[in-house]
This record gives sequence, C-alpha cells and structure tokens, in this order.
Amino acid sequence: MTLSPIQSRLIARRTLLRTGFLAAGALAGAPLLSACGSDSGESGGGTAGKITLGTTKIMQFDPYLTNTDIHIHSFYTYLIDYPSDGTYKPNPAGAEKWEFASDHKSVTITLREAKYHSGAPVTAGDVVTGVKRAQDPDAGFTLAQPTSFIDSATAVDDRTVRLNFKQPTPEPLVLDWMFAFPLVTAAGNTPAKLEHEPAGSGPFRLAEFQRNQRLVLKKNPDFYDAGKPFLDEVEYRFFTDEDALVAALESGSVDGAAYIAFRHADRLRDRFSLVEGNGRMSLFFMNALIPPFDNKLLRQALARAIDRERILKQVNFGIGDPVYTAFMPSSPAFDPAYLGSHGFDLDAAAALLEQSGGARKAVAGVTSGTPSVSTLEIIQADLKKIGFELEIAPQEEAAYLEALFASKLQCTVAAQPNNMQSPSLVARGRQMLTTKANTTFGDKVPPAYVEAVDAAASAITPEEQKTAYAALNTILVEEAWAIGITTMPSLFALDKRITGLVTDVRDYVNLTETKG
Amino acid sequence: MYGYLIRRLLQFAVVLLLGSIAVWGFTFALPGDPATVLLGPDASEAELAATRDRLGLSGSIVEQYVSWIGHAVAGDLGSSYYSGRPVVSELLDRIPATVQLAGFAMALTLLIAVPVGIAVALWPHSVVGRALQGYLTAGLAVPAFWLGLLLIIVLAVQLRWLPASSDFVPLWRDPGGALTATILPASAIAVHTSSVTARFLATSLGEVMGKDYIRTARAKGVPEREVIRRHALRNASLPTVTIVGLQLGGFLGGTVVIEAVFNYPGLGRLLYTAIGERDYSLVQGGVLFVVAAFLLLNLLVDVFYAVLDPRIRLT
Amino acid sequence: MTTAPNTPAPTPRRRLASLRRFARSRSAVAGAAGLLVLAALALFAPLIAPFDPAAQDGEPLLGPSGAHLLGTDQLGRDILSRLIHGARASLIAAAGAAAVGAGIGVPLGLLAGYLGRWVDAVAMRLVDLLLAVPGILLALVIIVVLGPGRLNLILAIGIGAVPEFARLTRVATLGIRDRDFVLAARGMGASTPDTMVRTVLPNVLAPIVIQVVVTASMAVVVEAGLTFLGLGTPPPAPSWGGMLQDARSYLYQSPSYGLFPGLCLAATVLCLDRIGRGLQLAVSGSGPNVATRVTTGGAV
Repeated sequence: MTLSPIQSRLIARRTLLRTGFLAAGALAGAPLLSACGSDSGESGGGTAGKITLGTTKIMQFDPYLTNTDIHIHSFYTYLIDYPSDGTYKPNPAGAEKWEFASDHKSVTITLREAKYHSGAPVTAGDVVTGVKRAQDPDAGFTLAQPTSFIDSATAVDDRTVRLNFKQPTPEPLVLDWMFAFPLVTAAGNTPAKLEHEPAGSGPFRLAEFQRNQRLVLKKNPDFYDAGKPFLDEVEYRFFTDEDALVAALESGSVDGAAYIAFRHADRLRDRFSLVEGNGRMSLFFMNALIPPFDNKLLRQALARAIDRERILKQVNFGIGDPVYTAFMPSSPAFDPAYLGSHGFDLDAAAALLEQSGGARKAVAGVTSGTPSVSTLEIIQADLKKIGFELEIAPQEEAAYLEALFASKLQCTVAAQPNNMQSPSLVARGRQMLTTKANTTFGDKVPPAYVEAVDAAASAITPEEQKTAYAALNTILVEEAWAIGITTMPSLFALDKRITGLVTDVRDYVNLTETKG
Repeated sequence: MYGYLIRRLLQFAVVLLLGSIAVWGFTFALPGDPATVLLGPDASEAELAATRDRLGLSGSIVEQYVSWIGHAVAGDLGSSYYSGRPVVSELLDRIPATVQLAGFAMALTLLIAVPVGIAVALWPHSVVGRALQGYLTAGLAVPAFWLGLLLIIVLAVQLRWLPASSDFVPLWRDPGGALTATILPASAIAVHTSSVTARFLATSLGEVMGKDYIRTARAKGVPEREVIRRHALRNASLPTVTIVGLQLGGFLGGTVVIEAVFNYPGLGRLLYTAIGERDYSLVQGGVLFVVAAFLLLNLLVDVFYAVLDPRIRLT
Repeated sequence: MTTAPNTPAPTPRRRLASLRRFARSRSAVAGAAGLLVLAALALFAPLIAPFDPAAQDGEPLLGPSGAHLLGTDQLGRDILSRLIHGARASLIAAAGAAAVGAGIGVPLGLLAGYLGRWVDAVAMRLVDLLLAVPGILLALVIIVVLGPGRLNLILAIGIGAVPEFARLTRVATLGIRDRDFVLAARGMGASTPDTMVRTVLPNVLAPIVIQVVVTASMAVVVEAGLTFLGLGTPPPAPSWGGMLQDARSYLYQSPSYGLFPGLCLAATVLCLDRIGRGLQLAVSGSGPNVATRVTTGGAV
C-alpha cells in the first residue's frame, strides 16, 4: 500500500481535528479499532518485559500531529523533557545543552550524540529540516504556530544548531518549543513517509503495525539513555469502544487500558493501579458569529451558569480541577480568582440574561455518546431554572465537526490541550482560539485578544509576563466565548505489576521507565 | 426449472443494480463533503478541489457512478479514503469474522430451536412445554444487545470465565479459542433468533401434525418417532428454512449493536464506522456486498425450496 | 408469506367472531391490557411520574429507596420518572414506524398485487432491495442523512418496515384479485382505484393489522438500539435505549439502573407479541407465522 503525500496529509489533518476536539473516544466516527490479534483473548501479555495496552485512540507515526499521545514518545526523542509531575524544569534529552543569547534573539543547541533507529547519527541538519517543515503552514500541523517565533535555523556544526528568532522571545516559549520538537531524520521527515514509518531515535522501535488493529514496539538497544527502556516489548491493541476496552482489562485480555472514562476509576481502583495523566481541559464555546451568542452580554450570562463543582462531581467523578479560562492550574496564566469572581452564580446569570435582552433559547451541538453530553445536560438543567432553554442536539461526529468548522453550531463543549508554560500557545492550531480567522469570530477576532496573545509571546521580564497574562485573561473573560469548565486528566488503569508509566505535560505517554 | 433459475438470476442482477444506484445516491446525500471533512475548514478551495479530484469526487454524479460501476463489475471497488487500502481488502478482512460469528450464532440458534420447537409442538401442555414456551416468549422480548451487556457483566467481568471483548480468532487456527471468543456474542444473538425459529417450527409442526397423511401414517402403524422424523418434521421444516435464510442474511452487517457491545470486528461495525467517517467508497462497496450476499442467500433458499416443492416455480 | 389467502371475504359477523376469539385468548387480552397501561403511562406521564424526569435534584446513582423507588441516574434524576416518560419515546417510535411502514408499504403492495405486470415487477424489486439492507444499517444511514430528531427517527425505522407490509399486502391482494366479489365490483363499473380502496383493501386488512403489531415491537427494539448508539431520541428526553446506554456505563456502580429500562423494553415487546399472536389466532384460527422482520430487528 502506498499513500500519496496529500492523502496522508488528509488523514493527518483529519485525525488532528478529531482528537483536538473530542474528550473521549466516541463510538461514532472512531475508525475501526478492533482488537483482532491472532492470539486468544485470554493470553494477555504475561511475560516479564512485555506489556499489552488497550486504547481507543488512533495512531500516527508523525510527531507533528497531536493525536499520537499514547505511543509517539516511544518512537522519538525530543530536544528536552519536562518532568512528569506537570512542572516545567527542562531536562536534557535530545539536546545535551542549550544557551540563550543575552538579547533573547537566539539560542544555540548542542545535540547529544545518538543514533536513529535506522542507524544513522542524529545531526544538526535534521533539526534544520525539521524546523523548515514546522514553518510550512501546510506541513507543520500543530507545530506551525508554536514555531512561528523562529526566523531561521542554521547548523553550526554536525551537532550544534542555532535558532534565530524574529524578535526577542521569552525563554519559556522557546523551552516549550524544544520540549515539543522531535528529532526526525531529514530524509524521513515528510507527512507521507511518517504516515507508515516512524523515523526517530526514541526508546522503542516499530516491530509490527496493522492499522487499527495492533501495534507492536520492540526495545531500542541503541537508546541514548543506557539501560533504558526497561521493557522489551509493548503491544497496543485497539478498541472502538471504551466500555469494551475496560471489560477487556477486567477480564485480563490486556494489561492496561489507556484514556478510560472517569466513571471507571472508583471501581477499578482496588484491583488496578490508576495513573492520572496531565490531560486536557474541557471548555464551553459560544459562537459569536451567529445569533443568539453574537450578543456579548448573553455569552457573559451563560458563562456564569456553569456549575463546575457539580460537573466535576457527576461527570468527572471527582477527577480534575475547575478552570475558568483556557489555562491549566500549572500554567503561569492560571488565575483562580476568576473562579470566585466569575464562577457559578445563577442570580448573576439571570441578571445578565435580563440585561442582554437576547434570545432565551439556543442549541448546543455535541458528538453523541461523549461525556460532553452529560456536561451539557447539567448546564441545560441550570439554565432552565433561569428561563433559558438550551436544546442539546447530539450528532454523529463527522456531521458535528463539519457544523463546528463551518461556524454553524451556536455553542458546544470541546476539549483543549494544555498550553504548558507559554500562555500564548492558547492560540496555536485550534479553531476557536486562534488569533487570525477562527470559527467563533470569523475575521472579527477581537483586536484586544490578538494584542494580548502577541504580548504574551514577547513578554521577557517577569513583570511584563504578569501584565501580559493578566491582560489575556481579562480579554478572554470579557469576550466570554471560551469558558473553561474543568481539566480532564487522562486516566490509565494498569495491572498492578506495571510501574513507571507516566505522561508528560502534553499528556503523551512515556514508557521509558515503565516496568511490567 | 432452468427458466425459474434464469428468471431469479435476472431479478438478482436488477436488484443489485438498483441497490448500487440507491447506495450511491444515499452516500451523496450524507451531510459533509469528504474533502471538507478530511481537510478541515482552513483548506483552500484549490486544495479541496485537488482532494475531490483524487477521491474521484469531481465530475457529475452520473459520471462518477458510471466510472465506479465500471470498476465494480471488474471487482475493483476503489480504495478506502481513510486507510488507503482497497475496499475489497478491507471487506475481505472482515468477512471471515462476520461469517464465523454468523455461523456460530446460526449453529446455536438451530441447536436450541429444533429441540425446543419440537418439544413445544408435541407437548404444548406439559410442564416442559410450558417452560419452553416461557423461554420462547422471553427470548423474543429481551433485546439482544441488552442480553449481551448482562452476559458481559456476569460471565466476563464477575466470573471471568470468558473474555469480554471478542477478538476474531479464526476457527481453523484455534477452534477452542474461536469458541471462547465467539460464544458470548453468538449467544446474545441466538437467544433471540432461536425463539423466533423455534416458534415458527412449532407452529408449522403443529399444523402438519393435524394433517391427514400423519394420521394415515400412524394408522399404518408407523412408530411415532418415525412419523415425526420422516413425515412431520420434513414437511414442517420447509417454512422454517425461509426464516433461517432471512436470519442468516440479517447477520451479515445487521449485528451492528452487538458488535459494538462486544467490540467484535465484523462487517456491521466496519460499515457503521465508514458511515461515520464519510468513507464513501467503503460504504458503497460494503453495503453492496451485504445486499449481494443477502440476495444470494435468499436465492439459494428459494432454489432449494423450488427443488423440494415444484409448485413454487410456477408462481 | 403464509397468510392464508383463501379465507372468504370477512363479513361483520366473521369479524365479530374473530374479536371474540381474540378476547377468549387470555394471553392476548393480558398483552392488550399491558399495552393500554403503557399507553396510559406515556400519555399521563407528567401526572403519574413522581418527579420531573429532567430535574437533577437527587444524589447521583442512588439505589432504590423510599424517595426514589427505582433509584437515581448519574445526574441525580429519578429513574422511575424517566422510565415512565421514556415509554413515550418507545411508543411514539412504535406507532410512528408502523404508520410509516403501512402508509408506504400497503399502497405499494396493493398496486403491485392488483395491477401486476411491470408495476408488480418494479415494486417487488424495490422491496427486495429494502429487505436486503439490514434494518439497523438502513435506519442509521437515513438518520445520518436526515439528521437526528424524533420525526426522522420514526421515518428511519418505518422505512425499514415497508417491505414486509408491501409483501403481505401484495400476497393477500393476489389471493382475492380474481375472486367473485372483486370481479363483481368491477363489473358494476367501479374504477380501478375505487376497487382497490373500497373492495380489495378491506379484505386484506387482517394480515396488515397483525403486521402493524409486529412492526411496532420491532420499532421499540430498533429505537432503543439506535438511541443506544447515540443516534436516537436526543437528551434530555428520556428513552429506554438512552437509559440503557447510560446504564451500561454505570452497571457496576448501580446494577439496578440497567435492569429496569431493559425490563421495560422486554415487557413492551412481550405485550405486543401477545397481541400479535392473539390476532393471528383470531384471524386464521392457527398459530402465527409472524415475526419475520423481528428476526433481524431484534438482533440489531
């Protein structure tokens, strides 16, 4: 089978869109991810050094995509690592050391001596090629916006690369970029090639892949971190349905289940070890392009009618934290004060509703069968109390995405990724929060928002950063089109003998130190 | 007989052609242009056009259909938009799994339905007969997917006797494994279908038992066992064969919910997913296959019927 | 189809006899009574249900208790109230689908059977085609094309029921087309449409009525199946299929939750089945060859 570049790109884009917005694997629309291994369901991965993980997620080998959370970290080494506890202390990985210029306009990175799976050495030229791809809006995918601060990349020597910035750029933004930047062989770094062949230097190599059925990884003996990884083999099995995945875990067909729903947590806690990853956030979006939410006061009214406590308790089963704008608690822009001053208050919502003079009904689009439906049901019940009728219209995923992108949905609940330690990343890649045309404002993105994002991306001193982040929050709250609900940690249930499975701040699974 | 066969084959071809047109029309009526769905909203018009071109979506609907049907006749159903693999390979991957589940479900159905049907017909008022009638009623009333859920909870999760997710284990490679993997979904289906079949058989058998030739056979001193086996059952099984044929046809692609409940990699699942992904060529090829298989099965049943009962050929 | 086409034209007296036979079948009467109760529950749901089915007032996932007889669901809504209101979704789907199926299928069958020739050929090939697509897939595609919503749901399920109605009507029509009373009507100068509607239709009603009941029970299960897949009745309107889908997620925390909607479904199908059997017995005096479509509908 050969894929044309455009085709793999389509697939890539498609999966990117999908996973960007969906909190959990919906039945509808998830591709056929059936477990179809040749061994019987009972066998599991019993031998030491081998584990079998079940997942409902789709897989790509292209690290420029976001939907690759569960396995991509196994194939690739990134320039730096952050610790898995959600903090942002940079640790050397693909880069041995890095040095910022005093004018904040460049960084010089020294690469560690390492080999790709193919045997070729890691070179500065690979980084240059990788940066060029990231800068190409058609091939950069999720790395495109985060790379936009880079003016040029030059190879100083075989293992040294220098990045020149367009303007003075804050260190956290560069570090976030380095953390997200994978080392890929220059020759293999095209969407078409990566579609079916990873080209990295990570702890595991690809052994076998049947699309949507199973993926087998084998230990990379040449991994830079001698002695690691600990596991010899990892097998992923694909499930279309999350409940079927959990049932498979409980009946011993797989050793671990990845990205399972919160409701399973309590029941599984005794028999399995549960791992909470850093996860994403769920947000309530209102479309400012069409009635009724072209009315700012109405948006502000609904923003006060989101009962995060109850959603945390009843939809998230107590897992996760409330958020107000699109920033995780670990983000420097996270401001818990808004949860108090602008939190759930039906009286305030009713008053704003009255003041807005807007319509008293709206339709929320959502993919059927996801937890977002329950979240909306809670919002719906509260809104009913203040005389606002929210109709929920669950759709099958393809129709939902189309309506969403065409700005036809009045409102919806969708997931957003962690913006790490650079609040300006809030505007990366996604459809509802970008600074250019976006699906909730079209061409009329509030200028104050564009300014605030730009300011956050160029604030160097702590004082400047503080001001910029506060301004960003202010405009998000004022315009009230993207209302944070809760964080959605990723949840893994693992056989008790499995230890050391962690996720990084992007929520990518790291198996380097996993034992089974 | 040949005339009948030719007539039926012609009908088969006509329905298939109608089917291909209908499926085609339906996929085009689905909301969501595959190119837009694949590329996302930020794609330029040029990119969209290039994609449509590549997917074979440019040109008028009639042109597209004609080109597609031309290839289809030659056995080429195009490639899946999503996986890039030929639709025929995608289908061939699923067909063994579907046939195996259908086979198990049908075997179970008959294993239950035949004795139960006979018992209910022969001893309707005995304790056993009444109990079995209770089973028939319950089996008919309980939705198969709900039963599937209950089976998973009890047998797979609580007792851990059987796997909850049913991988496809080919029978020819590992008969034991195939049995354990397929038994739960097959049972969930078979409880329902066996109730229908058994009731059908019981009714036909009840009717036949009242017929003159049965009385004659008894009067001639043929042992009761022989009467039932040779005379009654043989005649009563004819209408039942029709039902079994319909059921078997329904198993191909019609067990979507059961497959979802058990995570079974069958055809219904594939089509359901393909519809969700707007994978037109896969939907078209897959539905056409299901329709063809169903029609063929019915044709076989009808021919079988016609061989046994010459009067059929005339109608 | 094995509906006896050779029964004589029913007279009012024969109909009365049939009705009496139906009334004598205890299980059929029980089924009818059960259905009436269900219909009453659906119709007067707001009066009967102890709580607003959308009100999220209770603690989530409570077991059965004095306050909430059948417990609460994951959002703290009263399960009993939701079950009672859920009868609406099921019965509306059942009645609607049967109406759509009969509304399209019966005229199609009448035309095919009475006019014969090419009309028959075309109609029957269409029916063959509809029959060849598994009901749940057909409904799925139709819903995706039309978009979600109650009316579209009914249409989607109803279209799947068309072929059975068409086939039955056609066979019954064929059986009486050349009978004396039909020929007599024609002889007295009745037009073709007139003959079909006034003379033929009343005399082929019996199998159609039975099929209505069969279709209704099929529709109840398919509606639940589609809602289970997330494409049926939209929230917060309760539907048994939707409750089953929710319950499936919480079967461990609250096992009884999943039990009740399933039982309601089973009970409804049971009542309809009893009625269908009773009708069949009443009409033909023999047992049923009902439920051909149920075979696939039930498996979903």
